[in-house]
Amino acid sequence: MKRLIISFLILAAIVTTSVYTLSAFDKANHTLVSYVERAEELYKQNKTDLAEEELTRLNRFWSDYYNLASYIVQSTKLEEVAQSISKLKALMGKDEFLSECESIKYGVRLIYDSEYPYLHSIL
Amino acid sequence: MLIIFLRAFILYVLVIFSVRLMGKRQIGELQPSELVITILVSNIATLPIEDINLPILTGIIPIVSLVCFDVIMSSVTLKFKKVRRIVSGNPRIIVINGKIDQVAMKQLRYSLDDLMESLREQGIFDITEVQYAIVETTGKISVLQKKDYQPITLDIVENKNSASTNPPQVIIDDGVIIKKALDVLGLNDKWLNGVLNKNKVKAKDVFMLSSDEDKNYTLIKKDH
Repeated sequence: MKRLIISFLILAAIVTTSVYTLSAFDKANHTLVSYVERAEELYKQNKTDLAEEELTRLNRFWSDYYNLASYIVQSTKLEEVAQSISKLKALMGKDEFLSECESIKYGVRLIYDSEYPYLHSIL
Repeated sequence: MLIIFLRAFILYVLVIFSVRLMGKRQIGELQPSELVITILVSNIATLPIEDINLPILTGIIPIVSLVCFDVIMSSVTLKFKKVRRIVSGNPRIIVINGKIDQVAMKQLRYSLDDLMESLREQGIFDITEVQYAIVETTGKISVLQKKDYQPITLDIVENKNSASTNPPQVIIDDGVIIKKALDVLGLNDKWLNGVLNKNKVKAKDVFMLSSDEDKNYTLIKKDH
């Protein structure tokens, strides 16, 4: 009986932690995407100084995000986004800046989707 | 390198804990489903140790979940006989009184070589010496030799006139009466009620009642 109770408790803890992590992950994703979108907007308005400040904030946020995500996501997936983020400042003033922003948003969404229990992911 | 070492240590502790949670059973006594779980656990544990790109949680969560599912399933099968039959199957008799049940052998996909090998392992080289051979749910074969071939024991000497050659059958299993066993032994409800009345107990309060054809029975009451 003791084993049974321990098993149920462990399973409940796993499910609770998973749901909590997923929601925290979702929230972090929204924040990250909003940083990228703000940087994109400022860049389009030619406010490059403000856009650069936004990118600094994005970089800072990314390190926290990376720490959270690395517990559950394969590091290779995260490194692809990390590379794109690290390139952003250098791409300011070039055509690739906006496409790199898009690829970051897409990459982050892919990471979240890979963790979300969609039917197709489960099967 | 240090990462791999630390991961190996964490997973080692986890596997030890998991095996402990699964309970004490030796490899040969594992049900097929338990054996599969054990192999799965060892397989999953190697993945995050070898590949540091994988988060260690991708190893920990499936291992812990599988072990918990196994513990829950064990408890369910303990409580519900029907579930136990679905999960573990039933023991099957493949030799009765020296005669091989070929249909049962085919259904179990047991070859004659498998049977003879198991008999030889138990020191029996002639199939005609076998009274009963039963394939247990674990896949092991249990053999009862005919009385003439059994080593002499005090019990055999004292009961030399006993007609019973078949092993005792379980008639009540955890409060549930097994009618089939009564039929096999040629006993009836009247005899069963007599035994229960004599012991001042109801069938639902009996943990185990077994008997042979000579009506020599063993009754164990439930503890609670």
